[in-house]
Amino acid sequence: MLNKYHLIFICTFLFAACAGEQAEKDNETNIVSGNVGELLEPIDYVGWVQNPENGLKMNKVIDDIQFSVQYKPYEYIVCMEERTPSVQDSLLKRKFNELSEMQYFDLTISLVDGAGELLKYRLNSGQQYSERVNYFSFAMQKDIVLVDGKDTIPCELYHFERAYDVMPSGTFLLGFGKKNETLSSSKTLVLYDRVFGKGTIKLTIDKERIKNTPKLKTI
Amino acid sequence: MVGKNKILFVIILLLLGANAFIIVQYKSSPKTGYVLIQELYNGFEMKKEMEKKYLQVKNSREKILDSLTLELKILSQKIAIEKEKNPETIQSFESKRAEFIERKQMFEEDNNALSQKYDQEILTQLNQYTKDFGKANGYTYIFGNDGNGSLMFSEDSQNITNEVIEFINNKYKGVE
Repeated sequence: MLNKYHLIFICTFLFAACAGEQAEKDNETNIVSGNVGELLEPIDYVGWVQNPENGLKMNKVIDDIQFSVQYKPYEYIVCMEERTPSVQDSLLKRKFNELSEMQYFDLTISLVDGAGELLKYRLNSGQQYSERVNYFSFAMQKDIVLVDGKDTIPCELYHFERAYDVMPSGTFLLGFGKKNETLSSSKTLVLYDRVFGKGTIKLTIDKERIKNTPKLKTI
Repeated sequence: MVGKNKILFVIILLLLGANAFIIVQYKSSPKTGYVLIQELYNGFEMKKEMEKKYLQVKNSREKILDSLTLELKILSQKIAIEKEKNPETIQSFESKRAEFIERKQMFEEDNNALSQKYDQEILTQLNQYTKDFGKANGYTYIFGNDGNGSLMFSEDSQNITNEVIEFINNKYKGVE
């Protein structure tokens, strides 16, 4: 007969190999649908939304520039505004009514390896700096649209947050009107980058990821 | 009986060892593939979109030139019909012709600049996404075959053009 230690050795080897593959599959499943219907405290909710693995935040690196979009569910906006350990149900409902006309995103453009102000990156002249400030502050709004299902929606709410020398990035707070398909379609933010010469940038938030967003626990 | 079991155990061990050896060899040998550059470029969604955009701009500029050409034709016919040459008509024709030549030259320069700008943007993203494909799929080298002799031979099984096209288009759409 085979020595029992030999058998244990072979079985352990085979089991380890199979378990590795299964663990990978399990991980993939959890990211997609592991949190449906879950109730989260504000701090956990914010963390969940900001975690790129959950699909509400998408990044794209082109050479030296990173483009990142954060989809902002209404609960997330309320949590970020209130910054309290708990949120009252009445407050959430009131805020929902205020916010529900639009859908909201944050777009962040940052330098991959750089430091300093984004606006000063690879500048040719002082005049170019002023042009960039003007462009980012106002004109870029026209270069951004949201493709929501079959609809292309212009950017209606636009605000540029400058980080100056604190961070090598700039954040744009964006709002788009809502169409009929809003609840059942993936959303693609389309930006035409005129400043860094990267061309059309698309970042898509998958509809399944939006559907699988957990709920905010209220009091 | 015991002898047979020992042989069986040794065989299993050898098989496992051979498996491990093959895996190690596979992982340590460089993974390579090649892409047909023209096919890759033409299959890239961004290229198709930018081409459409470029043609729209080019066509609208051509329409402006067409209407100027028509005006010039009308004026030249008017001059030909007139028995006594009207200096005002001739003046108008001359200034229209100058405008046409100036605009035509300007549009040609702008079209070239726009085409170069779009090409640069397309190549920047194409290169980045191909790099991303290589990293995501564990390639050591991805060669570009553009038919100029830089890649003289490779087996068809090494042709990963279609895989790369699918990957870069998903990347461009921002879904990966």
